[in-house]
Amino acid sequence: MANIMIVDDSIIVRKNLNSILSAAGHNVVAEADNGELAVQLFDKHKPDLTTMDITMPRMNGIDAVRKIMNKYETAKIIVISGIDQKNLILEALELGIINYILKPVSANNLIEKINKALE
Amino acid sequence: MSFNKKIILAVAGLIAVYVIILYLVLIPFTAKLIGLNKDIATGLLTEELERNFKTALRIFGDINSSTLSKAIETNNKTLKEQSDKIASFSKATLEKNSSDFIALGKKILINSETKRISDLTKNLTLQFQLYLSELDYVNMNQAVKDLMNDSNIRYAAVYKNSDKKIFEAYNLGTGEGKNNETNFKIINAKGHYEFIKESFLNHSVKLRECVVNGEFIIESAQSIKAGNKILGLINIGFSIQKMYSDIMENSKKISSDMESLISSFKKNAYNQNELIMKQSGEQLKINLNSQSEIIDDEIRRTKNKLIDSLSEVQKKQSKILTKKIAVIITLLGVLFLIIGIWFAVILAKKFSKPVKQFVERANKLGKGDFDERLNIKSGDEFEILADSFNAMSDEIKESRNALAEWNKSLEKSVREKTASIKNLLDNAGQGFLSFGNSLAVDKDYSIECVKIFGKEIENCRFPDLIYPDDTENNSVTEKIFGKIFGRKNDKQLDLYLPLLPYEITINGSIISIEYKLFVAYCELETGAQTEKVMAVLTDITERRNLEMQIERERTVLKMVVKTVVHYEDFVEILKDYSLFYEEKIYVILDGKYSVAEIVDEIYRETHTFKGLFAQFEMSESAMKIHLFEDKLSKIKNNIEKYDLVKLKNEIDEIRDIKKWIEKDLTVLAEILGADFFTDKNYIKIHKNKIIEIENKIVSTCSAAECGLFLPEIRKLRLKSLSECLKIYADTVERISEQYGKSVNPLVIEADNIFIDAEKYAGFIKSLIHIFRNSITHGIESPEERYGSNKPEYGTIICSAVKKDDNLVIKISDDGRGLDANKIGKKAVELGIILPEQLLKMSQSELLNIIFYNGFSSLSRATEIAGRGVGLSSVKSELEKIGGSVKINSVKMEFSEFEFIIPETLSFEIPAVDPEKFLNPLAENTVKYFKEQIGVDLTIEKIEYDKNQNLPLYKISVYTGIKGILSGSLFLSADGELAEYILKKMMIEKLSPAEEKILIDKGLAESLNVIAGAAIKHIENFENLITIDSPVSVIGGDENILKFTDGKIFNCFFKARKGRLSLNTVLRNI
Repeated sequence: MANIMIVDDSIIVRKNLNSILSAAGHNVVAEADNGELAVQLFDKHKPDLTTMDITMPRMNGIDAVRKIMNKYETAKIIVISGIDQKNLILEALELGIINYILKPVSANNLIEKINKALE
Repeated sequence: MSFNKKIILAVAGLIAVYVIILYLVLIPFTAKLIGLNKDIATGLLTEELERNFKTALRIFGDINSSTLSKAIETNNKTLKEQSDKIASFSKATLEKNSSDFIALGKKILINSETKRISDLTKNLTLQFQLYLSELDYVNMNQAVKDLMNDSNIRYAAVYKNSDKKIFEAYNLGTGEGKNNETNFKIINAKGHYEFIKESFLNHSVKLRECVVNGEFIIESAQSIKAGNKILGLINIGFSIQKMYSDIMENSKKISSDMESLISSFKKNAYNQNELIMKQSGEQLKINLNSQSEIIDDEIRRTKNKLIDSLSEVQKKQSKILTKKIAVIITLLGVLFLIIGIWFAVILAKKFSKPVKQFVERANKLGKGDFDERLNIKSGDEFEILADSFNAMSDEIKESRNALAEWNKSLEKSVREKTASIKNLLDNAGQGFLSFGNSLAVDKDYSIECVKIFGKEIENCRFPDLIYPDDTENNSVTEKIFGKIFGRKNDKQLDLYLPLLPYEITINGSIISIEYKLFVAYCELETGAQTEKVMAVLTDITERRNLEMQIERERTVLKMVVKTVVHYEDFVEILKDYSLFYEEKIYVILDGKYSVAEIVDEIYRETHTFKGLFAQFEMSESAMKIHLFEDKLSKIKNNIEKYDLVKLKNEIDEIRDIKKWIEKDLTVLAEILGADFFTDKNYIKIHKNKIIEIENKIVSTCSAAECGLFLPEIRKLRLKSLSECLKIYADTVERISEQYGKSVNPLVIEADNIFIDAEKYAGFIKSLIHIFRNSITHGIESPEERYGSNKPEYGTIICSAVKKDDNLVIKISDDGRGLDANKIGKKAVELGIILPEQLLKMSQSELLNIIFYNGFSSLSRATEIAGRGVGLSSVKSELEKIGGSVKINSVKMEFSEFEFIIPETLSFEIPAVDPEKFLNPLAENTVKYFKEQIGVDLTIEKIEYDKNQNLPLYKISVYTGIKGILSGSLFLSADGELAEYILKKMMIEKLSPAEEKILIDKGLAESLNVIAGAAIKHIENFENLITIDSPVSVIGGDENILKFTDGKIFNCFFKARKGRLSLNTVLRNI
């Protein structure tokens, strides 16, 4: 069981991720609907893993990843993105994210990647 | 080191090893051997000693026992003799002494006593004479007392005064004043003292005697006092006599005592002897035992000593032996060493020469000289070796040549293999290419690549090849490859590989790409690897086209169904369309319209057609019109640039719009047959065609689509009712001839009525009885008709109409009609009804009797009528298809059978009995909540709600069902139960806020599972039904949903925490 933070601007996506992760036995410690809040909440909760949407209002996922990774070198972030955002995925990978998941997200794929990342 | 030295060293080494082995193994072994001997010797010695000891013991024992018995015997004898001697001596002594002793005793006693007595008697006699004469008894008594007192006093005085007197005498002596005299006096005093003492003692004895005698005297005095002095004297005399006899008695007693003493002594002596004997025997035994123990100890000690000394000796011996052996071995070793070295030197000398030759030869061989020969004729192994060496040299030479040859052929075969692989790759139908981290394509790529890219691609950068115009993707791809080639570990491959492009479009072809990483080159020394990527390109255009074709086929099928089902509309549209392209378009173009108006008008028209064709799934046609529309909209936007001429040129293709729909029509004609379009009012499709279409629909469309299309298409397999009834025209003709009735040809009025021929087959067959009945019973004979003013020819009409959901078939004749009373009477006669029933029955009820089994109004059975079973069979067939019959009749005018058959169109689609769905649903609900949630439900009731009410509790979720069953499923629970279910489903406790948000989720999830399980429960059901995702209604307490177009089944459950309902709305049943 790991402490996980979910970052996504859609409440439905957040709820779904939450239920998938909870069902897999993980603990969702925080949910953020934008990058700025994500950075704050990361400081507060220091989750074992963060799922990060890319397109979000106020501060996008890439900037949030940058800020978090700058401060916490060992932070584990999984970016959730569409295949048409390859450039952003590459950027995020360069920033040190541990993995990414292409939309549409399936529960199995999500859990598999998260568990692998937590190993 | 030379060979010689090696041999010497080896031999020396061997010897050394031998010596060491001797030291290490033999010496301990010898010592062990000696030790073994010692043990054996000790064993033997011990045995011997024990044997000796036993013997000694036995002899000793023998000696001892005889000696002992002898000693005891001797002892016994001695003892006996001694005791006998003692006994006889004692006896003799005693015997000898006893008489003497007795005599002596007698003498002593008599003498002393007699003297004393006579003295005493004299004295006493004197005293008595004195006292007797002078004193009376009292005085005498006083005298005795005085005497006694005096003697005591004197005694006391003497005793008390003696010391004083002595002292006085002493003082007296000293008073004289002379030392000698003093001493003398002291001596005197002492002598005096002795004297006093002695006299006192004497006196005392005397006094005591006097006391004894005094008593006798007193007695005597008493006797004297009593009588006479003589009696006293006599008494005294008697007393003396008595005294003497007493002494005699005493002597005898002494004598017998002596005798018993002797015998007892004797006895004692014997006993003592025996005791002594016993004691001495015991003593002897003890002595013997102790002696034997001592001997035992001695022997043991001696034995141990012997053993010890022996082992000591052996130890010493073994030590000496070991030492000796060691010395011998050492010496032997040294000897061997010397011999060995000597032997080795000889050997070495013998070996070294040929070996040197071998070395020289081997060196030359190494340099490639194979021809020279070794020539050694030593006759030993060296010669054999030399021969082998020569042979080997030859073989090497041959092998070398063979190798060179083989190498050549290998090169050739590698070239061939490479060529064949390339050939294989070239012909694999896939493009193979590889590139390193420069991303420039390597020289060797398969020919297919050229086909795909349309050019030679050596050294082309891979991203440029796949994205020649898309700069963004080009650079992204480059970046990804950069990451892959520069990765730190293979884990990163998982991250970057999925980002590569796997499907691209090049020159209109769709290419799928697979990537494989491989090690192209590995430096042996450093282990550094050069990695490359192989890309395998497959042209999947064909496959995609095929997929598209399948999709197209689906569309075509849809088109077929639509056009067939809505054939009339379709034909109308086609008509309109042809009107448009044949006339209207020319009117528009050539009319007095402005360019803009023309464009608008055409656009409007074509747009309508596009919509219509799309409705009929004529996708090709719609697409073509759509493209034209696009063009028109562009023109519309720039309408000012167009004049009529330019416009006409631009949209010249509109003259060909007839062709736009041709493709779809051709497809339709192919599938439905060329006849399809020939007659615009009738469709003629072969039944097999329809089955074919059905099968295609089943195989390509989803279950839900099947549910929509299949019933429609199956309608096409219906048969015209007129067709089915046609055969009765002949039948009617035939029967009327037979019965001599004149009947017009059968009139069938059933246009546009189609029936499921299979379903109706039995019923239609049974109708023969109706026709026959009409002819035999209904239609009068020609004469009768004539008389009744009826046309000569009777008429039978069979008509069919659709009325609501029923098919109504009427068969009527203008005959004499049915006589209800006659029928009733007959029924009573036949026992079909009771007379009292007859009275109660209505007109139409009476008429219906003719359908009863066993009723026939004809008195006699004819060939084909009158058996009384005909009409009843009609009824039973009718009932099979759910129909009912009504008889209308007016006597003398007509009779009419009206069959009303419900028309449902479920056909061969699996008929779904709601119960089949609902019961498992209810059971599944209970099971699901019990097993998966842990909530016990009891079914309260399952009901079909005629009022089409669907009551809801506070929290409800519903989902749509599509397919062969369509409708909705509702799962509804009151707030507390919904909350409880949710809690039961959540792993962690929810906050009240979360609970509020998620309150419906528990039910939604449950509904999904329950519905899914219920569908699986019914055979072949699963693929024919789809379930949407649930939608929630929160706060719907006490609400009732009302439906107008569905049947509602409500299933109510009760749980401890509240109520729950599962409601089903079904629409197509």
